Amino acid sequence: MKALCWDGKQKVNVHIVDDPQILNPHDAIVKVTSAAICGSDLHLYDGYIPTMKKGDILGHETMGEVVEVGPQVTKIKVGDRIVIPFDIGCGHCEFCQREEFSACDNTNPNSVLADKLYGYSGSGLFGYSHLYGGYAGGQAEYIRVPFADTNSVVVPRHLKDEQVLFLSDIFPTGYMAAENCNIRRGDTVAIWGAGPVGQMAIRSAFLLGAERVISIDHYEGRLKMSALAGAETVNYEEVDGILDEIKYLTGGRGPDSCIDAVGLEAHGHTVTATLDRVKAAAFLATDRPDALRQAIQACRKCGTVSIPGVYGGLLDKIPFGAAFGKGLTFKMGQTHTQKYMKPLLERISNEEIDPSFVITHKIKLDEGPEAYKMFNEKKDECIKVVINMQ
Amino acid sequence: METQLQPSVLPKAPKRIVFDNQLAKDLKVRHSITIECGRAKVFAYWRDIKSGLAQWHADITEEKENAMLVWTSRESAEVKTKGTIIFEDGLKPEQTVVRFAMDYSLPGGKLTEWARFFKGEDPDTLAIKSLKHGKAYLEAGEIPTTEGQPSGRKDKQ
Repeated sequence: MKALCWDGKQKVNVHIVDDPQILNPHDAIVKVTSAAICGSDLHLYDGYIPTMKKGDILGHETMGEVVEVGPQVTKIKVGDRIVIPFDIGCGHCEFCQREEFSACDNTNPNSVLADKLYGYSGSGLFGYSHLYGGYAGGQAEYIRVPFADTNSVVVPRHLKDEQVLFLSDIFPTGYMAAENCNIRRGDTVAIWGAGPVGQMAIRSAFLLGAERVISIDHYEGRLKMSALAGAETVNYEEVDGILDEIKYLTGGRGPDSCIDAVGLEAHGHTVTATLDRVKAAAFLATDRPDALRQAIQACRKCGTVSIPGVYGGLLDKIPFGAAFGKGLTFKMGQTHTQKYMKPLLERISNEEIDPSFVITHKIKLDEGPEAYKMFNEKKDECIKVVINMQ
Repeated sequence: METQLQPSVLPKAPKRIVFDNQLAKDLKVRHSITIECGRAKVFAYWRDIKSGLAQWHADITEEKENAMLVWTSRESAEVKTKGTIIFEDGLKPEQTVVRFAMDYSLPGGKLTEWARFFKGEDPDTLAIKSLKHGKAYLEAGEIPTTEGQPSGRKDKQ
């Protein structure tokens, strides 16, 4: 089959590889119909996530048709059309039972390595480095899905791929980010990053009762998309000081919650942002957390900072005194996608939201390498790339 | 005036596991793992030499049903090991805490020990892996793997 493989920093190529096989009794094989490129794939592309190996198959936003099931798969069957969550849960451990699927104890074959780095390992993830299990990803014609009964949601035929594909990651991720804000009626939520997760977070915040959403980015095309959802927008390149601006916009009290939907590759032009780039280049720090710093500083007293943006390693100059001084609550981590797939599918079915609005580019698998480059350079107003396999 | 230490007023302590920390303290490898599965099944898994202790080429020298296993490796084993596994009820029903303690000696001295460590084949890593495999098998019915999956490393083009 054809697959998009990581061949090194800023090198993605189409390879012809073996078709996946059933390896364990709870596996299923899925013929992929659509897959997407995620902002977090760019962290891999740019070499920020350690333990990638040349030839790893990328992709963790995938859907398709079940073509084969292992002997212990009981719920889903051949012919089902499913969306696959990016995180892999076993469905049985302490964490899966609590619906904390991305903390699953039993799906990361390399958990000893992750234990050493993080204390305890999270679940395995599709196409997201060997630290997270080294599972082959879904930017390919076929994918093997472990614990397929747990790691799937069956979608009805009348909904198009584009409407449901984002149940695999960005819609639940944006939704959980907003849910983590414990939004009350009348709340203001500020969201750093108006990429796909930021866009889903804006709409989810409104779904959950936010009064105002402030969307912060420096790409006009993205801010336009935010405005369409009813968010107020701030281009941080056009204001003197982003923190002053947010304070002014919120009547001097700050947003009730702040979402960092940027993660470890913040752009930004502040002194600290520039220093981050120097330090990352010299391996003195691994992550560039300027959006997070601002979110902490901007948040009102006793507010919540919610972090769906990915971080991988060591962060420098985090204003922890500000966080403590204001009594902030932090919520973060990989999304427990399986918990949200069904209720969010219902919201899509009920026409409360159509996540396909975020798509700017539709491509074929062969165009993948070019699309990665374009998405990374944010050319052509690229926000979301969907790969259509047919 | 002589002050005497008074017993403080404490809330009633809930049932808890009290680890005997002195047990096997001198052994090189000590790990514990919590498994969402009843004690009898967990014990049976490790008692079954094929799944539980196979990699150590060991014989069980002492056992208390559903509570303890003691083993020593055979003469033929490359890495000489001896150790104890203790099985206790966890804090929740159908939950077991497995405590694993092991001593070992490696052929070839320090250098080989380091070489093994970097390959992830040192006895300590193998021990925690075997505990995790047991946990995955008992909780989820399979041991996670990616061996045999495709990648661009064996390119067909």
